[in-house]
Amino acid sequence: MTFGRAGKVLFVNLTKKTFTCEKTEKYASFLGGRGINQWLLFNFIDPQIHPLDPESVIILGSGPLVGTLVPSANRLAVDFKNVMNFGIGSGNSGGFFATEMKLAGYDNILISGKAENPIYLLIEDDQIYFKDAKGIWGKNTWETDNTIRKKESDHDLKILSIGIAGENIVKFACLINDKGRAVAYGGSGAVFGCKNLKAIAVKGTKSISVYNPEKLIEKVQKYNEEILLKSNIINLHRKGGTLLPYLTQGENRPHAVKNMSEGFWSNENLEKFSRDKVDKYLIRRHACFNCPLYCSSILKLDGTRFETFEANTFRSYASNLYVTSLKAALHCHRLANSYGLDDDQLSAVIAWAIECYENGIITEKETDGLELRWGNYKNILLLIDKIANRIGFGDLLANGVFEASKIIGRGSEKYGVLVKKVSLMEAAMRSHKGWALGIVTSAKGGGHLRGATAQEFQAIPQRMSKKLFNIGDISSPVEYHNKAELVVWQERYKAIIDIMGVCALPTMWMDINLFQPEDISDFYYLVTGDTISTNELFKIGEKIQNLEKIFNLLHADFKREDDLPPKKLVEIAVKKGPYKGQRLDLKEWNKMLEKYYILHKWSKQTGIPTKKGLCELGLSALVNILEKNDIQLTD
Amino acid sequence: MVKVDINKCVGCCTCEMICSYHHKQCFNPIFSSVSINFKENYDIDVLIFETCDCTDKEEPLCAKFCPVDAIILVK
Repeated sequence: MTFGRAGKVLFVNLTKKTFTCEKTEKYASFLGGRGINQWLLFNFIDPQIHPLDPESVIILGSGPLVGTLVPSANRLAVDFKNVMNFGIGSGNSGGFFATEMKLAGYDNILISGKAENPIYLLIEDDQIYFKDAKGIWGKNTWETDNTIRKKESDHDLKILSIGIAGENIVKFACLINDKGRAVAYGGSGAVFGCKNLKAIAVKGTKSISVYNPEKLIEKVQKYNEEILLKSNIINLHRKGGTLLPYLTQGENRPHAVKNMSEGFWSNENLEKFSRDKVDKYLIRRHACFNCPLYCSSILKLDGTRFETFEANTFRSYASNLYVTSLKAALHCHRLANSYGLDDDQLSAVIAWAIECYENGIITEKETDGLELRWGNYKNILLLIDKIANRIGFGDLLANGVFEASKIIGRGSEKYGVLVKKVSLMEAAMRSHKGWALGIVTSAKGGGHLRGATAQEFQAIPQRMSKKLFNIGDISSPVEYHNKAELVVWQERYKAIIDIMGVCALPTMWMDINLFQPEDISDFYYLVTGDTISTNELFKIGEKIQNLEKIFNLLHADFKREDDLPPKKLVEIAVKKGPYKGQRLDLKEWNKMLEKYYILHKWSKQTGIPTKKGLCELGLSALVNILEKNDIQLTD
Repeated sequence: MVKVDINKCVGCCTCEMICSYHHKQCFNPIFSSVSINFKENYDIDVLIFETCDCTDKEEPLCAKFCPVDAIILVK
C-alpha cells in the first residue's frame, strides 16, 4: 500500500489524445510537489523548445501531505517554462484541486502536446477523457467552472481553467482553480491557451491512506491547539485574511506606490481599504481545503460574487496604481480573476504605462485615446479589458513591460521595474535587504514566495535566529549582513514546503514557531512511514534550487547581472516615513550577492554552480550536461 | 447525529476527511457522513447522512476539528 501519496504520475499527450502512467516511487528522491515537477520539467523539455511550442510541457503536482489532515496541506504546484523569460515558470495555488487530483490517484500530472481544437480534460479516477470545449472556449474562468460542472452533471468536479486572457495568449495569463485561486506566476495560462487546453476537471473517489492515522490525528490536534492557533499572525489572518496584518501598521510599513516609485502611503489613503470597509461586501469567510486559517472571503459587488480581496490585491490595484477607491480596486480584481490574469504583472504593466504617460513618453496616440493617470480607475478598468482581449494598446501591454518597452523605446525602458525580464510589484524592497535579495534572486523571475525573507518583518531576537537558522543578528531589516544566509535558508525551506504541499502562510515564513523542520519531518513520517531527517529535507531543498538554477542557465542564459536589483530601487530613495532615505546600495548588494553565491557553492563571480557543489548533491550528471552546453564550471 | 451551522461554515471540508477516518481509517469524502457542497453562488449546502453514528457519549471528531465550531451534536 502507498501511504500519503496517490501512487501515480500521469502523462497526457494532447496531440495524440493518449495517456500513460508511471509509479510515483520512480521519482521518490524528489519526494513530491514542486520537487518532482522540477525534475520532470528538467528532463522533458529541451533548451531550444519555446515555452509556447506544442513540445513544451506543463506539470501539476500535489505533495505527500496533501489531503491527509495536516493543516493547510492543500497546495497545487505548477511548473513549466516561463513564457516571459524562458527560465523557470512556477506557480502555486490553494483551494481544492490538488486534493481532488490525489483522490483521483495522481500525485503529479505532466501535459505535453497541443490539441487540434479546444478541449478540456476530464479525469475521473483511472478514466481520462478529451472533451470538446466548444461552447466553453470564450468563457471566463467562473463561467467555465460552472458550465463544465453542469455539462458533466457533476457538481463535485474540481476545475483548473483559463479565461479569455489565456485563450488570447496574454503572456501573464494565469490558471484559476476552484473559481478563485490563482496559479499566478510565469504565464501558465498562456501555456494552456497555446495547447488549446481550456480546463482540467477532476473527480476522485479513491482513498488517501496514511501510515499511522491515530498518531497523525493526535499530532494534528495538538499542533493546531498548542502552536497554530496560538500564533498572533495566524489569528490576524483568521480575523481578516492577509489584508488585515498587511495594513495593521498603516503608513509605518513600506508600500508599493506608483509603480514602486515610492514606498510611503498615508494612513488617510490606507484607511479606505481597511478590513471593516472590505467586510461591507462580505458574504462569508472562505477556506481552502482543510485549512484552519480560513483567510479567504466570498465578496459580493454589484450582484457578482467572487473570492476575496487580499494584501496582494490591495498592492496591485490600490497602492501601486494610486487608486483610492476600494470599489474600483475590487472591480479590477474581479476582472483579473474572471479573465485569468496575474495580479502582479497586470498591475506592473499598467503602472508602467501610466508612468510613461505621466512623463510624456507616450500619449493618447498610443493609448487608443485613453488618458492614463495615477488613480484614474475608469481607464484602468478599460485597459484591463483591452489587455485580456489583446485589443489596440492592450495588445502591446499583453506582452509585458520588457517587450512593450522595447517596442515603445523613447526612454520608456527606465520605468520598467524588471528582474530577469519579469516585472516586480513589491513593497519594502528598498528597506528590507533580505526580502529584496530573495525577490531578485528568485529562480522564477521575481516574486516574494521563494527566498524573500518575511522573517525580517518578525523582529526575531538574535538568540532565536542563532537557534533556528544558525546565523547571527537579523533583527534589523535595513542591514545587509547575515541576510544572504537567511535567504539561502528560506529558499531551501520554501522548497520543502512546496514539495510537501503546504501553504506558505502558516509556516516559519510568517511565524518562526510554525511548521518548523522537525514538525515537517514528524508529519512526513506519520503520513508516509518514511523517516527523513531535517538535514535531508534541507539537502533536497538545496538540490531543487540547483536544478532550477541549471535550468535557467541552459534555457535562459541568466547571468550575474540578472541578480542585480532594478535601477529604480538603487537610484530613488524612500521619501517619507520610518524608512525615509532607504535604497539599495550596489556595493553592499554585490557583497551580499557574493556571499549568497558562496553559500550555494556557486562561483562567487558568476553564480554558476561548481562541480564540487553539484557532485555533493548527487547531481554530477548535470555537470556533463552543462559542459556539453559550453557552460564552464569551476571546481 | 451532528448538525452543521451553515452560517458559520467556511467550507474547509475538514469534517468530511475526519469523518471518513472515523468510519474507514482513511481519507476519502465518499466515506464521510457529512457532505459539504458549494453552490454556483458560493453558498454552502450541507448533507448529513444516516451513516452518522455519533452519539453523546463522546465529542464527534468533526466537531473537535471544525475550525469555526460550526458542528454540534443533536439528538
